[in-house]
Amino acid sequence: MNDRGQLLLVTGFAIAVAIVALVLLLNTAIYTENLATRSIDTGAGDALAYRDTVEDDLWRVVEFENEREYAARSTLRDNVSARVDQFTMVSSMRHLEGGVSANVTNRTLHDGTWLRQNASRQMTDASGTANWTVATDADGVRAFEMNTTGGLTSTSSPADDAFNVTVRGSGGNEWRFYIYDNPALPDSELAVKNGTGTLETNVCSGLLPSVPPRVNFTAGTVEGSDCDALVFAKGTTPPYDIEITYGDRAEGTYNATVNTTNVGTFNGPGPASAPYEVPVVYSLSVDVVYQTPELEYRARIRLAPGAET
Amino acid sequence: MTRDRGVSTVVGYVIALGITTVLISGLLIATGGAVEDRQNATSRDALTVIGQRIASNLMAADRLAETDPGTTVVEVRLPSRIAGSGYRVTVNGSASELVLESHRADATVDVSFVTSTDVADTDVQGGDLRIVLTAADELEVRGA
Repeated sequence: MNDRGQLLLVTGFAIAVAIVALVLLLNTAIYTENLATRSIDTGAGDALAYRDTVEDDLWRVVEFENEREYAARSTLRDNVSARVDQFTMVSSMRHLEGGVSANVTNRTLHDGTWLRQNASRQMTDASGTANWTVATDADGVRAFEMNTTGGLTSTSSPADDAFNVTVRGSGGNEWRFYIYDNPALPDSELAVKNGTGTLETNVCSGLLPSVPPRVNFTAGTVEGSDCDALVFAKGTTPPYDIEITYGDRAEGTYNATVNTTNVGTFNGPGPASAPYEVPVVYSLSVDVVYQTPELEYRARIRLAPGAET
Repeated sequence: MTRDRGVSTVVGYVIALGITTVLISGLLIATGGAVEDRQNATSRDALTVIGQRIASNLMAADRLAETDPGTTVVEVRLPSRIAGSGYRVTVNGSASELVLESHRADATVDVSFVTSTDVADTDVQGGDLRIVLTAADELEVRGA
């Protein structure tokens, strides 16, 4: 009679096993709910925020050094590098606290030159030559602004006689911008020739004041207002050669930053009597690296204000 | 009548045994079925959650990929077994769809995603995954 109740015992075991299986499934269900409510943020948003920080703020650091007008390019480059290092350290500190490595590495500084005539004089070079080359092989030009103050020649055939800025592109096409006085008009007059096009005279006449005009070539403005006819280097392709013709037929000041170290006859480098050249960093390329345990992001970005060419 | 004496005890025993067996069998079958149903339902829920996590990380990687980076790697930590079974993740890039299938349970789940970067067609075993931006500018889901 010792074998009685075997059937119930086996059944009891079987049901016990089934209950254990159900408990394990319940465990899976609880784990799933836990997984479903866990944060899915891998830090992608933070990585993009860090990139934006570098894009928006790192250039200001470089600009600060550019504006200190160093005489030696090596000093400029050393100081810019030191500032970039400092920026990297400060900007990554907040991320390090959260176990995230945020870094700016692999920097390349692109040399440029800031050309300044900060006191009004004829638009000739430092030795007084009227027809001269301002810069050669410039891959880009920015912040090219000229404020004429007088001495404009009076002519009705600008192509032959007027002061002009010429940009010659790589294919030999020329963009020319003329500033002069037309005896038939009350104000000064502007003329432009785009690439292979013909000369257009009396452009943007509505914007001209009664005094010699202030022209921002790269922004395309005359006296601060948009001049549709003025599109810098239209019809030409970089690298550019920039020339001034009849520099003795206009007076004024100008500023230009060119992406080349090959410039005409200027005083300096560093602060000197006008016109002078200052070595600057035209643009900066860096790798933005952002690493968390779940994420690795590396992107090369180029930093330069305004027109990126 | 003396031949039939004592029969009722045997008959009663057999009937009792029979009824008990039927009841117990019913109980075991019902329990087994319930366990299987639960396993399928739990697997489907878990696969849905896992699929959504992969999709969400894929879209996060897409946001990074849009900024034209050199390297983008997003790691997704996931269980390698759910409800006592492994699973496969099939990425169908052209249909913008993930198909997750449990090896043992009868559970298949589709999860769709939206990306602006192309996604490579791949087929990986469930578990920790890596989403990588390849040289061909495609996002690819790989095993970790």
